[in-house]
Amino acid sequence: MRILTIILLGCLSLSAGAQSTFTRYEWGQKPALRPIDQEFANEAAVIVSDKKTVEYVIEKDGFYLYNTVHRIIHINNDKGIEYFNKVYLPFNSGLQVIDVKARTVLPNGKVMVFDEKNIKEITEEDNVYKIFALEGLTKDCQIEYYYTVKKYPSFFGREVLSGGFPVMKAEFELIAPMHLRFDTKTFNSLSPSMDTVIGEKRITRVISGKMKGSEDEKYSMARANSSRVEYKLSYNTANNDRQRLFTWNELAKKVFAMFNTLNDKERKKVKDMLEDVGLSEALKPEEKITRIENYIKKNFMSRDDIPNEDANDLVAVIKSKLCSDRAMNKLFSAAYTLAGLEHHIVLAGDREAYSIDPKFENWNNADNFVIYFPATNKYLAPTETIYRYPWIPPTWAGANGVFCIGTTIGTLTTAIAEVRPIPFEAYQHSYHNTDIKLKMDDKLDAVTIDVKQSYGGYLAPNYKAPFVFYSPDEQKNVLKELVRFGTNSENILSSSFENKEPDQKDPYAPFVINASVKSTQLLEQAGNKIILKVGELIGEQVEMYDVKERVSDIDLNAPHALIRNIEIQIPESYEVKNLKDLEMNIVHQENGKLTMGFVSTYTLTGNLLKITIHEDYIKVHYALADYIAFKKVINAAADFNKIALVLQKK
Amino acid sequence: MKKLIILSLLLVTAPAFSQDVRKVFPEAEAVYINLSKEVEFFYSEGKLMAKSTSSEDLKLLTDNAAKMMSRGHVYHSSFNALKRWEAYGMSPEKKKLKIANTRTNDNRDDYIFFDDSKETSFDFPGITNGGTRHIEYEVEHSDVHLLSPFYIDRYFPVLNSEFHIVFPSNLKIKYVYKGLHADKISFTESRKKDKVTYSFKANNIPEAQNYPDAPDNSWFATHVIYFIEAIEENGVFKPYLATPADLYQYNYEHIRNLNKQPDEHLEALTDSLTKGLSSPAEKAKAIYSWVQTHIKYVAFEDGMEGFVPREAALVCSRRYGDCKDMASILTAMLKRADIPAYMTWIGTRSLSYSYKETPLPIVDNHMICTIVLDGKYIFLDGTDNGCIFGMPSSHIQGKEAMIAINENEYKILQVEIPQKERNQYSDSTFLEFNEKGLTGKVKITMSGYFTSNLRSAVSPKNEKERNDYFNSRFGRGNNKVKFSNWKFNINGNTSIITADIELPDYARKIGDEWMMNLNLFKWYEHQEIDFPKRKIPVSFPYLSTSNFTTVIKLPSGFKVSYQPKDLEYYNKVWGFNMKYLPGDGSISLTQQFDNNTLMLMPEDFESWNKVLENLFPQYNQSVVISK
Repeated sequence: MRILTIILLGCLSLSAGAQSTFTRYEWGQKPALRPIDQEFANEAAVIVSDKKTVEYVIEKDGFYLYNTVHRIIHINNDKGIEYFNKVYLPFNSGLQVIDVKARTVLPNGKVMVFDEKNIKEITEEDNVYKIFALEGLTKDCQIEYYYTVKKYPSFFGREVLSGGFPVMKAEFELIAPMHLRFDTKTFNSLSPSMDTVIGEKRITRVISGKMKGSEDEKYSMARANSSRVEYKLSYNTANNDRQRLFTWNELAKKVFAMFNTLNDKERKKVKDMLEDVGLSEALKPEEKITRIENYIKKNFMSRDDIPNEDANDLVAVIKSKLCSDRAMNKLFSAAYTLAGLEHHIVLAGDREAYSIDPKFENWNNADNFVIYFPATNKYLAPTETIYRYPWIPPTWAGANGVFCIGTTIGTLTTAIAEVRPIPFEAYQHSYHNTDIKLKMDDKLDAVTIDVKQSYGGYLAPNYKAPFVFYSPDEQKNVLKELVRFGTNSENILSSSFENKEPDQKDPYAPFVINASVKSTQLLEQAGNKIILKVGELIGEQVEMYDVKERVSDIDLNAPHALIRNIEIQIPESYEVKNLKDLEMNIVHQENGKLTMGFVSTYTLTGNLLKITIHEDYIKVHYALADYIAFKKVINAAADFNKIALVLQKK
Repeated sequence: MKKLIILSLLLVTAPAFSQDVRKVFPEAEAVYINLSKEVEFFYSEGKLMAKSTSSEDLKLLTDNAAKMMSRGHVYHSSFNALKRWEAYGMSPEKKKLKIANTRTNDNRDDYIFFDDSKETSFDFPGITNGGTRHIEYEVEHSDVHLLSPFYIDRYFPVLNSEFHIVFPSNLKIKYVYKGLHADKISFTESRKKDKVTYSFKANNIPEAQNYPDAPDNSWFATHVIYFIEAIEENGVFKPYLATPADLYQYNYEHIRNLNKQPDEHLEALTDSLTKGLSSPAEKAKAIYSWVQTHIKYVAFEDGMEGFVPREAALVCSRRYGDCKDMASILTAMLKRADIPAYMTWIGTRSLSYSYKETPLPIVDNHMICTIVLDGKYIFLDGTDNGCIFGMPSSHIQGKEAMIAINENEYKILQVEIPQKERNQYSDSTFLEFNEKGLTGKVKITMSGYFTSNLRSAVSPKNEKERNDYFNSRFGRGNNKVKFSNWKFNINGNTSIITADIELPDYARKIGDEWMMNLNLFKWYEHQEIDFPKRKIPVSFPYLSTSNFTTVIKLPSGFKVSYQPKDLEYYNKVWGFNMKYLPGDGSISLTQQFDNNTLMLMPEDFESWNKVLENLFPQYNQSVVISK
């Protein structure tokens, strides 16, 4: 979701007199095969060169951006051919395609030039693409294409230079008239940018060295770890103006105006809606907050593909109940304002993708709309139907947000920005706990398990969602699967839910699935001994047994805990031979404080075996240096999953 | 067939009230209180055309359904041009609600790179539980050969559905019912002047079932197929799509002018591939293999592009094409090598139709090349890059092939279904105890479609990717298993894969005893069929026989103190054999399974599950090894 689709035309005094002209991109007339590094000879394809240029140009009739991408790709095998023989060029917000050229250099040096007539245009999910298929591709050929699209400018941008295939050299170039000064920031192994001036143009360049293709790693946030350059316009020196542009304060001001300006009719309709919600003075702030939230989320629906303009008229939105995300955010903000609940709009980043830097104001990264209530010091996400106060998508927390703090200067009400972290809720509230009571049937060939799965905090919404959105039939299948996890059985004797509805009086109350299950799969016969696969009661666990070298830091979605209490009634005439296997203690501390761990203990009282397992991930980010410790904890759980108790006749 | 002449054409069915709906479909989140379509055939400037008007009213019965169904869609394409459409919502109080946010997007299937299918979508603002959404649209069908059947089954139950075919009396229209609820369709016929109307009605059709291992819709969804069988001209009925011969004439037009000009480059290429090869079989194999590896699948299906194959020379220089294009290049190259080769239409296994019953373009959706070697017909599918020469690709097994011999002559042959013995999978694990737990070797031998699939899977991978693939595909025991030294060899029909294995934390040692479950694979765990609820078949990719053997070497001084019982269980549907075999200082278990059906029908589900009931206790057995 884009908070602000900013039409910035006219908001800058760009008419610094001189117009500039765009010089059409040219590629070499006689292409030849380029050498590739032996290191990449086994990869499906190698990006030999990837050059991305954005050029800002002031023309007679306005201000434009020309976006050029020029790539040369060496194809090593069939997978490479199949990946690169179909080209999709994004043409969203494009005004005009200036050029699309493509050609293939065959291993024998012969050049096949692509006929532009074969370009097709498609629209998918309202995005426009120019697509074409490259001809004649064989192993060891090199394909080359470039395109230039003319667009309305945005003064923020991001170019990702790394990807799934190795890159020999990637280059980013930002060209702008001298009086427009852009700031850039590079991420993840890219060197900072260098500026040069040619004539009246300033060229900012970032050049990468060789980059390996990215690997899928568990507990890693691929987009956040991508090598990329971000840029933003910071100064327009045309009028000797020294004022920094597009600051967080300016964003806060715009956002405040956009979401807090209501006309009388809108105000009346929102007030009518609040009547329906039913708020009395006696209610505590939390109660008011959640009542309003529950009412809107039950009755309204927003979609990110509905055009944002509907936010200009909340009267229509309240009638239609189907609206854009922006309108939903505005409706929430208006409702809280008119209910007299002090709140601030917060624009959050996303740890999975791109984060907010106080010093480098890339507005595009402030993408997620959150409401903060100072009175309770908690948050709410209007467009996330399944998350309810104070829970917001956890990757929006644990990182900076832009807090738009309303302020009144004379008669003018506006906002200033504070960039500070959005904290997590205390980690103990986010959990997946399991309580199990297991009893063996008389014949000792099956077990009856009473299981209680409790999902709390940040972990609950995803488990709850199917039971809110799916058809009754699909819900039964999900229930089966959730129960099967940890019992290895679909033979459900009875089941029930607690706190299934999204709106709960106590937002910290867990979503609970209770089930009574009969399972034959947890027992094995070994002659006169019985093997009870007790480890399977915690369900199959993620493992990190592989020995591949880890590249990225460890990132989790949310801090959380998993507590399992298992009670097993050992049959009278049997004894357990290997109870000691149940003891595990893998913990990691930083500065004397526990940050993660897997601890399993047991007691045996008479025939009642009680096992308690605490698995904790108190932080969401662990440095690469902690990888070994992290792996040990993860694998401890995976090892526990394999434990089986051997029961022998006394 | 009972014909009832009724006077009034459209008998309006009174929509049921929602309390009735709840009685009929207590769990439904929404129901179609009306689903109707009328197709009218007419002449326009002497050309036979058709247009259809469809309408649907979906009543929403939960808050969730009102939200989920807040977007409506109408699909169209160049052959089925959208002429008019209208949609609106209706509040529970019967107040009309306008739609919003109309947009038209392309609507390609995943495997198609470009075509002309479009989707017009729109939102129903203000629609709530108890309300209804109405969509109606008119489509002009420019080619009356290409009419889609009328489908009745939907994601939600259908209370009332009606389908009408209106046609001039000089047409003879044939119709065929298909699907689970075909017996619920009633038919009436009426005549007014020289117009005939066929009407079909069906009420109270439950929502369509959906299982990932089910065959495609056409196999079980309730639908009416209709087509022009003959057209009267000067008092004589002339066949239109009455027999496969008529369809052949229609199809042949798409290839009439194909590959008429020889192409030097293609000829030179063919000659170089077949140089030194003496037998036609070797030549055909070389050509097929070249096309499999060098021509990539990219489908452009805009308008007639969806029917007319491209010139072989163009496909060759582009190095890509769709199925028709691959059939075209195969046919041209094989002919150049003096092998009888023919363009061939075929419906893949996703379609359930036969040429004889419904001689229509909907019967086929694929093109291949058929060759004759030593009097035997061999079907070459250019789109399957793993396919073994001589075997049909798995998705055309048992299907009818319409082979274009020449302008006037064609043949319809049934493609063979390779028997289970042709598709063998044999997996052996040899283990011994040591300080790491268990270590040893694995060996997997495959044939037939198992080999085809392996070829497709490994051919685009580099060594590292291949090892990752093997690690996950051939995992066993537990997820701590570690393989090294993967080797593979694919030789025609047979492939052999070997590796070293370490399997820690699998066998359990208590005192002086080892306990170990030799069922390293439990493939059928949780494979019970949802019986009796499930009413639609289960589709299998091919017939097969597989066995899994675990051999464990006893530590010296140890012997087997407990050996689980063998069990063999077969019924009319399938079965298994689990056999323990003590050897010299070792013990082994072999699990043997056969699959002898491509499509398991609901009447066999109970027997299928019965096999599993017998199998599962076998999975829970360990051998005990002690001093």
